[in-house]
Amino acid sequence: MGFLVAGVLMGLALGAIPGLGGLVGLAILLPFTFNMDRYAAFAMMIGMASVISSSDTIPSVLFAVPGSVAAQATIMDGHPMAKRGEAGRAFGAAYMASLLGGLFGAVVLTLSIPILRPLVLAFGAPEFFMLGLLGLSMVSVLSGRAPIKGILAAAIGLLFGVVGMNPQSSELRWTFGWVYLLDGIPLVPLGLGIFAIPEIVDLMIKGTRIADVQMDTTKGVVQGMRDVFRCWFLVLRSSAIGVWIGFLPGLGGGIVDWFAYGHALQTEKGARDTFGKGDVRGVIAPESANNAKEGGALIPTIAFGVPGSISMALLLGAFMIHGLTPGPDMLTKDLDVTFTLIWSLALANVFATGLLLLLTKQLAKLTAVRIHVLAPLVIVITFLAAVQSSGTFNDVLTMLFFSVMGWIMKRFSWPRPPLVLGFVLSFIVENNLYIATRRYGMSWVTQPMVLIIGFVLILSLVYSLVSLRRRDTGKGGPAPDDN
Amino acid sequence: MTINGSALISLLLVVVLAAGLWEAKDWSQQAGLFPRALGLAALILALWQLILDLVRRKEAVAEVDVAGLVDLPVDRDVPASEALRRAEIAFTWIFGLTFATWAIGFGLAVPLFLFLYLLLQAKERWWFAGVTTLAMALFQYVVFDLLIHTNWPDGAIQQWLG
Repeated sequence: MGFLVAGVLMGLALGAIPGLGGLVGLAILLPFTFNMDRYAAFAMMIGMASVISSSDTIPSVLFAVPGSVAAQATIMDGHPMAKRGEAGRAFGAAYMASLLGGLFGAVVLTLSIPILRPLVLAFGAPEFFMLGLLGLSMVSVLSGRAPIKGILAAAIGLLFGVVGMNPQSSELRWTFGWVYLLDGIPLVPLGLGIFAIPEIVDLMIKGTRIADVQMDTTKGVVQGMRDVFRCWFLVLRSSAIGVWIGFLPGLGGGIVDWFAYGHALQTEKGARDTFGKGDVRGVIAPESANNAKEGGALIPTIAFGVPGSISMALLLGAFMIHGLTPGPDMLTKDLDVTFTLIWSLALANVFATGLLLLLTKQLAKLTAVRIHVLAPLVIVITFLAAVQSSGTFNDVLTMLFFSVMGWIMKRFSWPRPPLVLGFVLSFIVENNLYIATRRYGMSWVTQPMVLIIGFVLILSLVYSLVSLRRRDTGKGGPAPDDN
Repeated sequence: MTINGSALISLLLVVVLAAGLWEAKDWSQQAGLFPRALGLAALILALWQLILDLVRRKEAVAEVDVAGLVDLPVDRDVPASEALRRAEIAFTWIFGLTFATWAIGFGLAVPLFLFLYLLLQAKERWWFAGVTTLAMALFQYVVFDLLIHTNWPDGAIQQWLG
């Protein structure tokens, strides 16, 4: 329980600091869990990851600066509310919506376990290969109107994933005589390098303190919480959207808030006149969805070993580090770990809401810390985190390589999530393709479950692309630039 | 035809992928099939992207590429030249910390980096830099040494001195 609370506190702090989201937090936290008990480790990691979407509301509402990519839509109505003195109401609504969304995700995750168990037990190498492809297919959504860059980034990630000793033939691939690479490129320095350092460097480029404005955040909190119960059906629908988007591998938090916001805009009475001007429903919808998505993202991660989001990709790495194999084992002999994840998810959301109501004012001050003071501290923690991977200086060099790469990718609009997605899915795809082909020849292609997943793959691809197109053309909600 | 940053990245990718494929040509069928097939497809895509980057206008490249991209947004308020200058400073400090950890080890490099950064780059007062450095050193000792029992790699100078 102590580790869960520690994770929640860390998650809340990271969520409140723009640029340092769940990915950075998980990347930093991952190496610290190496020597921890697996239950404590996962309680802390889930505690941290699941509440980022609760506290990222603070800078979004106060300063129109999204605390994370999943909090962009909250700005649309949250900030206008704050500007007219209703920051407290916006926070109250956001925290309660986040709590209910998070609990909804945990309930769906729990209910899905008995359904998934027989399904997963029927899965073999061909099906897992197809699920790997399903995850990779989401690259097209992550890449927006630059699909070639997205596919290329994913391919590079897949190729980074094959570095090291081939498990089938024991041949060394792209190790260049470097013993450090025998076991492949470690995930921790890669994750830190690709995401954490580039974000810190960008904050250093910006140079100023993150935010200078101080506002009253205490008024209207109760009214905002009441608003959520008044709009319970919107909370339910938005949470379902969050779970669904979280469940689809690779979609992640970047679009979940816009999907929910767009849905509310389309379906809520009078929304087209009031949204964007400080309508509390414009806060409730994205906040319910972005917390619910964590429960949804855990479903494919636990049951199939296919990460539902980039954060889940890092969590998948943690499973492997702690000797857990996602899939049937997580629903049979390691079921206790799965329930630890579910309880952690539910309790973390409850703790987070309680703490946020108490700490809102203090957390908001983090965004006013000058970046020149904040940056060296985060850099140092990142270095200390990187070296936990293999305990050698090589970890730092690996992180540095991916830091430069990540920053260049970000600056030149090369999507980074597909690279990490490809890297994490590389082993799943290659290994299962090899096993499937060795065992069944090419006949595995016609297996019923393979065909079903293939159909889902095509369906989700078409749905995602159509949804993105609708959003681009303004039918699915306003674009971020509209703010 | 325009040479821009995106085209340079695409060109670099083409070179790296070609070199990687050349390296993989002698691998067995078992070890080489997946990376070779993937690498070849990636090489073709990289060449296509390079052509696109070269024929499109610079503004068009940026405009099209950012649309719908799911990644943390870049703050473009700072002019590109100034952003590059500040990035150079940031990475100089990061490379400096890397060199320091290699040379003198984490135990000394981290407090030294933090103190110097706060004093020279952040222009903080020496007492603030000192207190922050001491707090971080304490955090490092309690969390990493006492709780996690991290075995820090020795610095090159310590190794040389025996």
